[in-house]
Amino acid sequence: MTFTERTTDARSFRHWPGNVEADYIYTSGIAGERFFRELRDHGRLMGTRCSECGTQWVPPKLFCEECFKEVHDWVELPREGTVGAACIVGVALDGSRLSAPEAWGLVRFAGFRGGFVHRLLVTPDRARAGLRVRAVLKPEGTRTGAITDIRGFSP
Amino acid sequence: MGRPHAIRQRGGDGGVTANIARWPGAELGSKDLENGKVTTQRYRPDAKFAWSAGEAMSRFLAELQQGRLIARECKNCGRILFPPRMFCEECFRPTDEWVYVKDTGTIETYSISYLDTDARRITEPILVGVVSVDGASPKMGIMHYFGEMATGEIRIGMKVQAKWRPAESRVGSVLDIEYFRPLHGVDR
Repeated sequence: MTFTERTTDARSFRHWPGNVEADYIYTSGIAGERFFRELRDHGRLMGTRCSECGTQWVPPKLFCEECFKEVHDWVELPREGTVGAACIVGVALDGSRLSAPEAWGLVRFAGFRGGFVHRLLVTPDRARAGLRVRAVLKPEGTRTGAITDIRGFSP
Repeated sequence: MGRPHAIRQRGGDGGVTANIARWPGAELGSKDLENGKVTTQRYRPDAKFAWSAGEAMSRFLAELQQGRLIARECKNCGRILFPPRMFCEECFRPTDEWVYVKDTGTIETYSISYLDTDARRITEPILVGVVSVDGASPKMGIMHYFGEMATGEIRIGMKVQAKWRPAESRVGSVLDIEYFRPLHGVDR
């Protein structure tokens, strides 16, 4: 009985709106701290190098996955990287539609394990794997020590 | 092993912890984060929600605003469920009809609380407890405040009646009843 006389309009129900306050502050950590300071203060992209096996890591790691050794040596990345994979993005972080689609990609660097997933500063039709790119940074003084200090990667 | 004393039973950790002279990283307080001592990412997720009272409780709250208490009847077991529920958990079937119940009842249990709703200590106690409502099945009722009675006066089995807020200040909340007060010399 009651199921057929059920209210089908959810707005007729009493309800209480709210917002889950799940704010957070994420600290960069030891390696991340040095990486972001170098980026912010000197405009340099840095990685680390394992003194045992020579593997170079980007983003920088403090431990080598290969030898399970602590990593101490810091090295600057080459100026140019290569797009390993690319995709066209039509939706923003909050789920809303972007006014114009953007190109995003994984940028790798010769001799380094890892890479950055970042915005590619090209029209979507030009975004493809194999593209040679270079980091475009925000001007000095406006950088805050975050990955967004890199505007994107441009050919 | 996974038990709390697993390390001790194995003969300790070999003093590994004691041998670490320098722990990496820096200890951070909230001041350090405010002052930008280290680089951080701040984020506030937009996690909205709407908590719905549902079919039965929505009607219950709407009726409270009108100064009435409503229940649901199950025709199978004959019980009058209060607060109202759309499903009879005894008969495992939907309940059948809306029925109004009285705003009088009996104190089933109570507490004399020297803590307020924020758990702060208070000198004037709050009286709270469960009222079984007249017209509903036995022992069916709601939890509420008691008023207009001394702490020495309150007792289980006491007859009480709802003290309603004025109609214009009712909002469709269980607090549209201010409290339950003693029902003196009134024939039920």
